[in-house]
Amino acid sequence: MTAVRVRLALSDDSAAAPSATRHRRTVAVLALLLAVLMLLYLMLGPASMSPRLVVKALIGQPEETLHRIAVWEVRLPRALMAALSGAMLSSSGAFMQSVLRNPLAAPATVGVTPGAVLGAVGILMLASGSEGTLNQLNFLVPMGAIAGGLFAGGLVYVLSYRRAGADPLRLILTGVIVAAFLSAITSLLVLISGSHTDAIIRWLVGSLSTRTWEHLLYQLPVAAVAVPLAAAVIPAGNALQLGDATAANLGLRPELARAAVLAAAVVLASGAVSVVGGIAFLGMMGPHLARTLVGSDLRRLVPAAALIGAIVLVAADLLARTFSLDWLPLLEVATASGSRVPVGAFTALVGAPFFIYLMRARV
Amino acid sequence: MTEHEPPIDHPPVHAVDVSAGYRGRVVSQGLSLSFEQGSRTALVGPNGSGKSTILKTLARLITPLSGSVCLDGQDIASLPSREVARRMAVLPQLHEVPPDLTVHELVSQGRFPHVGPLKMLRLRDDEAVQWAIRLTRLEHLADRSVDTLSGGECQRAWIALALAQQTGLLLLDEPTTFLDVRHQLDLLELITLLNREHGVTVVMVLHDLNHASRYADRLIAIADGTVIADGPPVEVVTPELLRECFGVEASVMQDPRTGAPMCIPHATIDAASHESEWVTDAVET
Repeated sequence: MTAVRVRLALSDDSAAAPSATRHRRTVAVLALLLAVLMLLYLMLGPASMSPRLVVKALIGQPEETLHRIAVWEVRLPRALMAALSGAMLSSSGAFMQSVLRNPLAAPATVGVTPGAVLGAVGILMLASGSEGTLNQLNFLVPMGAIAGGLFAGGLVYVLSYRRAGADPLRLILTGVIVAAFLSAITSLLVLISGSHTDAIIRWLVGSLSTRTWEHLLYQLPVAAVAVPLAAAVIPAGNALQLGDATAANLGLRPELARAAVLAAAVVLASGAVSVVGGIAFLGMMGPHLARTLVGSDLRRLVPAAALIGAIVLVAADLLARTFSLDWLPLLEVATASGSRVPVGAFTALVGAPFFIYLMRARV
Repeated sequence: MTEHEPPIDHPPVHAVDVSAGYRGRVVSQGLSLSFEQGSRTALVGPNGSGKSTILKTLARLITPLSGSVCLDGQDIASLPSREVARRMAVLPQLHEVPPDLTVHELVSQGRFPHVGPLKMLRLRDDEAVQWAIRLTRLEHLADRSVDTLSGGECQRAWIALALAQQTGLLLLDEPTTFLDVRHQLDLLELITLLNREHGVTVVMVLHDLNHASRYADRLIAIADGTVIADGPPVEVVTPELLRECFGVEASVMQDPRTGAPMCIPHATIDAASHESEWVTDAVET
């Protein structure tokens, strides 16, 4: 074997492409930003702590038992889930936008998120009749979401398939229709449901409240499947971005490759929704933000989109945790699970205006 | 470090009794064509004659309805698609560019058929990309976004992608469309350079007969999916052929500089009898 200098495609540093170096720096800055946010997340809350206290609690030497509970039991699992779910949702959108060659493609618009939400809500409804324990629900609801997301993704693909394949535009159109259909079923379910309405609405909007280590444990296997799958389809996704003819020229079978990339995207999105619910917007906004920073090459776009998704969701959940509806004097709101705003509301409320600003500033 | 030219294979391509077309529509039947190593061939013919379909069939972008296309004597259908992509590069007529993709990133996609199982770019992949960028004179634009390039630069970037594949065979579908005169010549000169200096076998569909005569050693004239003339430009570009194949009356003369035949169409056949001005205008294009 000859000694070949092997470098990761992610970190090629060819002299002709200074943008590669710049992009790598951007990704590093994003990672740093995420780390800082995670630390803030662990520090802030009803019992705010200094970084020193957080670290002491993390390494198992808390000054007070309360610190250990706040950091280990409440904040850390929730922060990790926010980061993981945001990353999965946003990178899923990056794959979809690239392969479907459409800036509107996202887990929510092509039916995966609505499918997953329907799966979760369906399980909640079924459980409302029986006397299922909370533990069973904690397991069954995420599983229902994953099954629903995969089912919706598969359904969209099958319905779009004609003759030799499913072309991108037909996939998008079918996806939008399926999304509307599945959302309508969810709405009907909510209307006829007597109980669990609060939990269901939190699923629709997307929320991380009451999530614990247990939920993360159900999400991790999905991530363990999705992440290597995603890494493996990046080159194929890159080739597909250039059109089917070019992808075929480069030695791909476009139809198979598209199915593989979309499958990875569907698993990513389903895994995210299974824990946080139907977070609006992140799957579309994350990749757009990432593209303005590092361009369209998926070798950089996917990691950047994942980091941005994680950053946005961690930041939004930090806001959601600290922001209380009680502050709004006109609203006398008190829902069963308190007056906290679900994180999904923040991603849309803050994200939408910011996104509009960004688009206007760019053009 | 010495800059060495990356090695290039030389696979001749031939089509055996091929019927080309789409589902339910046969465009061309019983076609047998062979392309010599290092040759430079232009497929010419009127719109809808089937020349693009034939090129796409050679490029395995369309599966032949019957018959087979062979690379190095092996049926293209039985070869793994990646293996084909290492021997043959195709520049399709239509392609898409995602926003904010740099020239370097675009060209590096040409290494896709070569990367190993771990999908990593190696030193020789980088070298191939640099070589392709240098040859297409895009060094100063390597970091620019492809969607900000002019038509000519953009087409050069796509050629660079095909070059980065480092194949001995290059198929191009109307590479000069949408380019102005200068950039058309520029591109055809680049193709000639590849053919002459690097031994790349070129098969291209060209619209402009004069370009085809000047930049190809062999012309294949196609009408209604059938080859009606095949040979060096002087034999193919004749008033008779222009009448039969393109349906125009034309004068053919010799380019005093290159000796290649040049044609000046002056009337369409239907209108040749009654000379109206708009017809003369129309055939100018």
